Amino acid sequence: MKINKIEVNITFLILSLSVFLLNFSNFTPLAIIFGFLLSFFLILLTEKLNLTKYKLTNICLLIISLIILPIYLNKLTYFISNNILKDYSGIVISILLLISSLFLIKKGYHTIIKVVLLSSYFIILILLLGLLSSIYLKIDNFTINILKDNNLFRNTLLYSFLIYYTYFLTYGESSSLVNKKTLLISSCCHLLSYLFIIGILGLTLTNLYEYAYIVIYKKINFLNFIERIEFMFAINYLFCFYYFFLFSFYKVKSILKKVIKKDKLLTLTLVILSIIIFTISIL
Amino acid sequence: MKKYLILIIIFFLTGCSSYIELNDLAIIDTISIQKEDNNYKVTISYIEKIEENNLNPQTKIIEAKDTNINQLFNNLSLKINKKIYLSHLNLLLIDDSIKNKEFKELINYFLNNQDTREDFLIAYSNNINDLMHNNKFLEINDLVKINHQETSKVIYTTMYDVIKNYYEKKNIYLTNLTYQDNNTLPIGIITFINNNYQELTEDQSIFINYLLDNIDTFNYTYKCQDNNYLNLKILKGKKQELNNKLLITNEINIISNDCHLNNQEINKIFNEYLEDNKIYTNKTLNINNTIRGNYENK
Repeated sequence: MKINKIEVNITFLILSLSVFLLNFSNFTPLAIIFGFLLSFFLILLTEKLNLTKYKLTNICLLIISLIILPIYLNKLTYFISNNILKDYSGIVISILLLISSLFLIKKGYHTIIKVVLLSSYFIILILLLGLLSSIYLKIDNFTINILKDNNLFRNTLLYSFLIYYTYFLTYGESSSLVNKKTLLISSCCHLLSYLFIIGILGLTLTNLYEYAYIVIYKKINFLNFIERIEFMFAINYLFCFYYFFLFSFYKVKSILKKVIKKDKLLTLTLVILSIIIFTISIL
Repeated sequence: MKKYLILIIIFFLTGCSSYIELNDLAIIDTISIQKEDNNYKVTISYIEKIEENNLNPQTKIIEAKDTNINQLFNNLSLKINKKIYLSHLNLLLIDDSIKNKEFKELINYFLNNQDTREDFLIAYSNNINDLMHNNKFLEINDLVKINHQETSKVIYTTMYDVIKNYYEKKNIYLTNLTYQDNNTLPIGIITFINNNYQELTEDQSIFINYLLDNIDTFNYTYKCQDNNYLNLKILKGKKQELNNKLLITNEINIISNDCHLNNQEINKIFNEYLEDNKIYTNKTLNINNTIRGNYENK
């Protein structure tokens, strides 16, 4: 079972949808553009120097993944208990997410990619439905307020870091690399979503809501036929975040596999690791 | 072993543990909020049952009082022995007792409540009790929506607009409703400005809808001497907010000009009318009019 270039690129695109920023301001497009350029430059450098071959790169990736995993698990659990399974215990959600992740990473890279590709149809369809909210766009919302932005630098770094990290996640056992055009498309998607959010809600409301994307989907009412689709989008968002978490977890496994040769010991290590991740995430 | 593990996971993933029966949900349709002696008085109308004959929902009205809105809704839940469910809320009625502080508490409550959708209508009325207790609130939503589209003398303000205007420190515009002879009537628009409510005239109401881009065109009538009228149709207003200025570019068509005014005079009259309404924009006006149509020289 081979994985082709298109599949790797679609996976990268889906994973990059989970990239988040600290806040929204008039300078967010600049942060996205600078972040894109920075990550683009870093990826070019990585490919030229063939950084993935070095042990140090793997150690760095392992450390970063281990930092990112509890953060994403916490974010994911909080998101699910707030938007999808309300009144449901966050601890149970975390445990279920970890068990299913363990199960999937045991199945291997191919299975994970196929799972992502299967749900990619649903994800892309729901994202396209978001275009229906374009009737609520107001030019007045694009007012320039220079004073309010303090996070341009941090947002740029965060964006480029997450994109660069996502590149490493998809760069795995398959020989195919992420196309540069996919990088550009993902950044364009982020820019477009920024325009929609700010254009519909305005800066004040966008920064007021925790999940501004969902508020936009709440607004959609197409001919009284397509309405109340925010849950579908919430599931979409959940998929993207979950896949990011899953790939990070898989990265940890693939790096550890090089050190721990025995299968049983590797499984035990992963179980212990997931218990640690779970404990840190609920702290 | 793996199959059993997957089966257990599937059972957990259904979310059955937090499931609430439909009969145990109080699906709220309308809420009215007033403040009396430092206490919030909330009246809710919720769907109690559905009539078997015509499938119409039967609503029940309950009142509660407390100093805190969160506590108040908890009390209501205890009173009706059901979970308060605000996802299908259609209308929120307030009166002049709701000021800045109360708006803040209300907004916080709705923002922090995960069940609510902030797209419900907010209207103002001094006859809330009559409206609620005569089941006249059921028609308000359609009444305001149709009047907003057809006459533009009322405004369809949702919770989103209120939250946005509150945080951006802009004026809040609400439809003013009254209850007369067993009927619900929209009087016009009322604005919440400087912690006070101020009623707008019909002309001002239309102008505000025009400023907020709710309508594309409106008619302006000016009465001059000897009962003569100047009728103008204001087209395609391009409004742009820049710092503290509001740039308005209008295209004006003259419908009738019995006053025999020339373009310069019409321009002056219309600009004065815009300046009169300036207090409702809080901004310096910068007006640029293009007048089209024939006029007769004096």
